[in-house]
Amino acid sequence: MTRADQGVRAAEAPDWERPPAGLRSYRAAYALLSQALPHSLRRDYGDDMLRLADALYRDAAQRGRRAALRVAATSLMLLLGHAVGGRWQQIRSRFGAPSTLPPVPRDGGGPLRGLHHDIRLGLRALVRDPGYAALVIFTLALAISVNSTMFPMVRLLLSPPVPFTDIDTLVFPYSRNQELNRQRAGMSLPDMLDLQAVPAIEALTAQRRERFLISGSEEPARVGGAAVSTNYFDLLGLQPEMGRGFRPEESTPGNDRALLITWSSWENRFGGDPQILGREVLLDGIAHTVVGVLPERVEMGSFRSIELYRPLAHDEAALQRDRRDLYLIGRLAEGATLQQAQDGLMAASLELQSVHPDSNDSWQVVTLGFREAMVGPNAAVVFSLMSAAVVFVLLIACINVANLTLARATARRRELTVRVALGARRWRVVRQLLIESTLLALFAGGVGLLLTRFIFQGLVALTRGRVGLFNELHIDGRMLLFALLLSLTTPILFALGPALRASAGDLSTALKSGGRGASSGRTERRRRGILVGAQITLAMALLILASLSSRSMLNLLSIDLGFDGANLLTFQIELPRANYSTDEDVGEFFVAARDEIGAIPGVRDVAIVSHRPILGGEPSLRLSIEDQTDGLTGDSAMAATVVIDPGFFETIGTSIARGRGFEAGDDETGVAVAIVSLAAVDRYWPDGNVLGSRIRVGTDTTAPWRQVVGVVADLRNPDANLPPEPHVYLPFAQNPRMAMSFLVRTSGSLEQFASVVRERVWQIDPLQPIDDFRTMQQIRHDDFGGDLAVIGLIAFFGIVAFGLAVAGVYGVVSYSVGQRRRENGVRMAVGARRQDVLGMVTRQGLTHVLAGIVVGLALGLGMARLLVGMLYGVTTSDPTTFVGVPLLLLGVGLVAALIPARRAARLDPVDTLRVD
Amino acid sequence: MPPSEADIAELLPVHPRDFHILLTLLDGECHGYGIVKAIERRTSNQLRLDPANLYRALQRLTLSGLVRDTDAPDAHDEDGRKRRYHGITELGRLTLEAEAERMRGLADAVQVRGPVASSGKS
Repeated sequence: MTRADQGVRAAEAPDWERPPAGLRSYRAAYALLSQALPHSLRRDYGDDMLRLADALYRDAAQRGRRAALRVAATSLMLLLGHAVGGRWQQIRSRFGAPSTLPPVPRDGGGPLRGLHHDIRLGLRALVRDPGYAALVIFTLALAISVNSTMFPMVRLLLSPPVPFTDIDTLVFPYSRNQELNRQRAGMSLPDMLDLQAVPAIEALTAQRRERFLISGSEEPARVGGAAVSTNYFDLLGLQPEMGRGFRPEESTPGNDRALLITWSSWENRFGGDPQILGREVLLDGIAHTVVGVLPERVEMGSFRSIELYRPLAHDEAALQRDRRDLYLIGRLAEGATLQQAQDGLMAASLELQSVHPDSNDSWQVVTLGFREAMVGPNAAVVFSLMSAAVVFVLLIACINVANLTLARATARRRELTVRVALGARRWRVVRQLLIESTLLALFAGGVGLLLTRFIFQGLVALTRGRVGLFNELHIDGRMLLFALLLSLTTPILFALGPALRASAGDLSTALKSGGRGASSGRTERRRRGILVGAQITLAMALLILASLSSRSMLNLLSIDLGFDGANLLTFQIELPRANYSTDEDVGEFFVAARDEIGAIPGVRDVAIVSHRPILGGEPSLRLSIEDQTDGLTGDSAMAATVVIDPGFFETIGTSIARGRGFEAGDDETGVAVAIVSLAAVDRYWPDGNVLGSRIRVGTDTTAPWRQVVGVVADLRNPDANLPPEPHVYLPFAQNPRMAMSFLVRTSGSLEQFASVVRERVWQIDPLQPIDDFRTMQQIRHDDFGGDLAVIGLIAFFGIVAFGLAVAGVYGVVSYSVGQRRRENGVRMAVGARRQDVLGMVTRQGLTHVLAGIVVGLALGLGMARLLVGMLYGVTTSDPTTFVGVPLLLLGVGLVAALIPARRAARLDPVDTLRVD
Repeated sequence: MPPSEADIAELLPVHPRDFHILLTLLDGECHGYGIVKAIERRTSNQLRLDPANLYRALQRLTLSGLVRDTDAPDAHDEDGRKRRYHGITELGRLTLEAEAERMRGLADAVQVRGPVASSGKS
């Protein structure tokens, strides 16, 4: 055996250095589709095929982009054909039919006889008409990808992943205070203990998210955890995989040093230690004993961020009735309904109001079922609108493809009629057309899934992984099934009608008319017109939604924050009580850290604050004003309370409106002082005499009265639809807190500072974790991230719908112009002027557009109603939107109709009549 | 045991694509890309093989014993994987020869008949 001269062959290899454009997508599509190949072929030659496809694409790319595209389209289509054909042969051979050669196609026999032949025929027909194939695949792929994008989101929303059992008997009680505009607040432990007496409830359990500094494993780290009632896992139907659950007596203070860890925590943090039960772990410096390991299924959805569970101790701090930081889950009593639980809990909460007026005034308990609790009311509306949007896109795409297919079937009418005349049954002809369409749709499904993957990646990148829902999105078996289902059903929508029509004709008329006169005039045109109108209607409704939501978003983004967010770096430090037992220790650490950071070159200002602006979370505390007895503040005067140091206002760039800011002298030895915000003055000091008055914050009547020394401008409310909340600022030196955030205003790039800042902090305490390094601008972006992404999606859907609908108008008008060449030629031959033809064709096109716009306007108005309360600075009948969108559609529709109309008017009548 | 005439006759006629593949391999063992390129050159780009076509044909030819896989130990890809080479078997050679003979017979028959083009419907 001679071995060929490999040197020569190697020299033929194309340029491997620089991958040509599109190679990656092509390769991915090829790899994806080759999964469908018969197993033996894929096993033996799969790699070689992929490599060869790669090389041939590179070759073609050297001849130009078009050649590369042609090679890619052909080879992908053939790949699909081999996949389908090969499987078919496998099935046949399994049932005993000869497997080497396809049978000679012949009509008769079962309904599936000759399917393989038809598939090959279909592929050949599509390869011969790549323009049509590409257009259909592109259109359907877009529609399938937007539908596949929404599919898992809707699924996650309808059944959020939770580790609970019997979710239908779970109820979720929340505190509500209409006066403070708190809709879903937590609950206090004493309230919960009292509410347990409600007969419709079998049991209640509570959970509070916490973060622990963990040591005793590897390196110290701050991890997410939760304090839970001892009955928590029993009520939710979860048993530890190893060890035991919590015991009732472990809620007693001092007896609460038990710890349950999750499966992945055991595997990762504790290295799968077989001796894990009984092991001691330090949480915030306090020894806890691991008593059990939870099963893997606990770590689902939002529960993934919890690594450790400890018992919720019923200690003095937890037993304060106004400390509403527990989230409750209840189990309905046997035979009780959600309604009974709602009524019972509400009645009990009203009773608590009268028994404990100082802590429970105007606090009620609202109870939600599982689904309402997991899915906010806004999310439900937004996602049903988005689901409607993607179905609209799919419909528009199907209409477009139906029009394309109809045009193509009409053009092929002669061929089809000949087939019928030669003895093919109508079913075979219809089947042939349906097979072609299904092949295209399957192909589009594959491309659509690829697109979907890009959309998912884009969403995660856009929200930087901070929106939990988007992180859960990936292409799984169910999605493949969904896309397959779409691919198999859409051909019925877009191809069955055209196929039936194209195969219905009788031989003589079709042959005589030369493949041109198939349109049966008026009816046909009206039918197409209705389809165009429907497209415009759907696109219109979508564009209205997209316009309203993006305008609302733009308004939100342009809100004045009340401070300057540029070059403002922030991070959080939470000290463990075990290492910093006294207020002096805490104060010393933060002051030392602040001074160290302030000394870094390039740092202009540094300040510490208990709750960063925008992020919110500052506690609303009772506000009492000395000597104010006229009831202005009443019992329900509340103010968000933030602890700051003297540099805070200067660092964020907020101005002192009246009085002064905090000074170095406002420390533990000085007079107790406070600063209030303008919103607080407006609400609680209507006469404006605020400076010098004395206030007390919180319910503790032994707390000192504080003198108000200054008034500052408001910061924006984290919920932009609400006005700024009244704020009270307290000096850090008089109120040290364990957890403080740093704000660092720098003069240069922020990234380089992060490492320097860490070093400086670790010089003071090398074991201290630093959390949540972000710039204020990032915080703001993250705050909007989820909404921005959702609005981006809606806008994307709107644009896709718009583009497809415009293409639809253009396609239909230009098709009808082509069909009526001769008619228009005659018109002009007998004296019609060019502008008459131009006007007539344009008018016919625009009539449907106008009708679509009118109906779409109504549909859009109706859908916009659902957005009430979710828009910012835009009404649901926003004039800009409701005038602008129709004008846009009208304008673009006019252009889409004018282009083919001009073509019709430019015809030379002699030419048109000379044809044939 | 050498293949019998009857064995070979069963494999005829050979599909033109398979014929070209066998013809290419007559020059020596070759990998998929080489086969495609050689055929393109020989047919002045009239026959362009797609990966799926090529490898299904190769699979069939290998199963019928006309072609065999060979690993070229000295040829590796840029990513270090072994490249698969394909070679013609004795049966492949004989089949190719028999097919050429068959076609030569057909061509001769036309030659004897005289010019084809002008004799449309007579």
